[in-house]
Amino acid sequence: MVEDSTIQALPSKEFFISMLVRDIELFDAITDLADNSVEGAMRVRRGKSYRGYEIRVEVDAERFEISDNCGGIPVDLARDYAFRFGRPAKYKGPAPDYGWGQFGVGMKRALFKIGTSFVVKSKTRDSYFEVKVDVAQWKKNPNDWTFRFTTPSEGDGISGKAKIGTTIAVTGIYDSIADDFSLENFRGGLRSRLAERLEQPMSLGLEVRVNGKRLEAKKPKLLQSSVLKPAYRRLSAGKGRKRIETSIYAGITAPDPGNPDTAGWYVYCNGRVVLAADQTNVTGWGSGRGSGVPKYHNQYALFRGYVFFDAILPSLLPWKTTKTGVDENSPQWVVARQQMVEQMAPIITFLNKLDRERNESPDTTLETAISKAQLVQLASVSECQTAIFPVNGRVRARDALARISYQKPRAQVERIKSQLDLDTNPEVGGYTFDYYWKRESPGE
Amino acid sequence: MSSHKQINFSIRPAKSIQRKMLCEAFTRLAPFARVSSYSYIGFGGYFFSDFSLVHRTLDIRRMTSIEQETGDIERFEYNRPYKCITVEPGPSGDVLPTLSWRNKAIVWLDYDKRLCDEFLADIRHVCSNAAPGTILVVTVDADSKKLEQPRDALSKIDPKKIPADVKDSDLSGWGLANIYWHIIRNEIHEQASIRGRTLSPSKKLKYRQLFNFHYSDGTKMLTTGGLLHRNSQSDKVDQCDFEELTFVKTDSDAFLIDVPNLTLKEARSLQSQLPRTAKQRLTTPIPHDDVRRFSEVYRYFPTFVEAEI
Repeated sequence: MVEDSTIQALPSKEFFISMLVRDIELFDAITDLADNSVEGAMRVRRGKSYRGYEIRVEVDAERFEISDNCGGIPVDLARDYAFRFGRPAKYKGPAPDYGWGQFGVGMKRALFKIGTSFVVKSKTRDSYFEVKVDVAQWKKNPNDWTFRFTTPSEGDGISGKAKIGTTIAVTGIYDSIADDFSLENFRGGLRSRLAERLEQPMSLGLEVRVNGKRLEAKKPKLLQSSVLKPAYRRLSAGKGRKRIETSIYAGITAPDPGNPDTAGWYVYCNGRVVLAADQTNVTGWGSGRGSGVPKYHNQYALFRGYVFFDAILPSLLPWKTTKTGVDENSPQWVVARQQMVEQMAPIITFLNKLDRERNESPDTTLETAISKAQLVQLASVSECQTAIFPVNGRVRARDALARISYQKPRAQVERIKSQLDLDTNPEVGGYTFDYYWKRESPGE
Repeated sequence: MSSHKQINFSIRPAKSIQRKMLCEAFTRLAPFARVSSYSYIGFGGYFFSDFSLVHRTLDIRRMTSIEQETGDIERFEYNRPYKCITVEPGPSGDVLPTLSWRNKAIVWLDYDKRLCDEFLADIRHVCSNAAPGTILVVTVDADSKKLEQPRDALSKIDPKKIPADVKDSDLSGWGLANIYWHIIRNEIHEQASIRGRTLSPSKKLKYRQLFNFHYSDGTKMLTTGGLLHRNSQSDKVDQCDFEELTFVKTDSDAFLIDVPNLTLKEARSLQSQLPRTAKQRLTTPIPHDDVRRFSEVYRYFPTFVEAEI
């Protein structure tokens, strides 16, 4: 009896694709495509500036397109790496130092997620290629995991008219995604997300447009003055090409009536934001009693923290494959987080004092100190182990205020309001208290 | 001779005209269902003017007034003009989720404040739950004059929902109303889209805008709204023939309710020469522009009565 002892373990394309695309949210998938453009620019730019480079995203219910002038994808990169699922272990391709895309999955994941057919065209100085994929067709052959160029390669077929750069177009957009693409609110959310994640290259000159409208970079800033200094610590680990530099800034921003949603920690890996306005335990909030860092609360809306991890080898950075979070087990992260918690505690204490001053004290020392401080870019912040804050004015015991809270029949309260022409209940309380004090003068 | 005095704007003629126009539009809902079977939900306040008009012209008997001044509910109930009105105390955000949405409704959220995230949440709630055939109308204060900074008009709205590239100069005049219109429309579209995600194409919800009013009785206001219906009901919407009404606006173009400053005598005299054909010249010393403005709204002009006291 001949037994067939082999077990088929080849993944089915259907399964593979469905698992792949489930892994990532639509905004993040689109950001991944933009990341590839940024990495392209990193490969070809001179110096640190991104001036002159641009990414254009066009999105509507029928079509998704992202195009850039960021140097293009060399055809051998396309052949051996860009269209593979995962980077081959021995690959020594031209990945830029301090790059972003070590995982090799981003582009395919995004394209398979959005629609049923896509075209990738890319021109570099020496090569040009085109790849057209009809996903339904491609799925039909379970054993062939290759793609085909429609126009090869180096030297010949360099389309004279095309500019250097890459264009990716997706059609046959899936229904639910097309529904999202047609909503202005979705496009507004996309703009917001791209501006948030690509803040650094944008601040260095990269132009990003969504449906023709240019995105604005919002540079991180902290308040600073002679009496108010943000914390700034630097750490490093590893040697030579394996070195990782970490910079941690923490402080407060200027009061802005608009938006407490931007409070919290921002984490950058090689300049790419992976966590924005984080208010969760991941970045140290609610670190348990004794740590001095409570759960996030709107009272801390002025808090801003910025952590930068930079490494020549992106694989050493503590980010998740989806670039939407940190790898909490990474030793780099564990060390940084400890520093972050230490830096947060005095800032939380200060914000609590500020809150007390606002609500309970006639003193305005802290409020004034804040209004006199300047918002400065992080480059202007000097190293400072712990944030420094102004101290409350000494409030004499006689001037300290106590809060009285009581209830009285609404009709009576309203009557007094109208008689005395007052607007609020606290004013009624204050007036009636002062009335007694003046008449009866207890003690003084 | 009081008929020579100009119309008193403190009685808000523009708002009154708008109310009548809205009611006239509501009468066209017949292809969807008997209009009297609709519910009406609004903010009646002390005077319940919209409730009165809706009940009298449409015979709607399920009426709910949401009242945020919860301290004095008895007084509001006392002032109800008809028995079929229920007063529900509390802010709209609290009350709307407690209402039953099974029945088609006419919902008029007549806020007297600037647009904010809380109002957008109310809009979302109605769009998520309303029975197809429901009309949603929203009124907000769109006047940027009294603010310290024109930008303050947008400060209570999630920045992601504000159209890109809005400059301060876009907020003057009726510009703010246009921006609010845009934001409200995007919110309705988004919610209708979300609601339909798991439904078949014929059941998906669509929004047919009917109203985009700019009016002012001293403060610039925006009223916008329309009909929420299933895709498969599009022909019923066409049968309603809303577009026949001149004040119905289905896009960014607004209908400006511009009440001319006329005396009662002038109003009556003009009225007797209306409707006119295009070529007809009216005999009147009144400026041509006022004549034009009057002829656009004359059918809805408040009827004033002189009284001897």
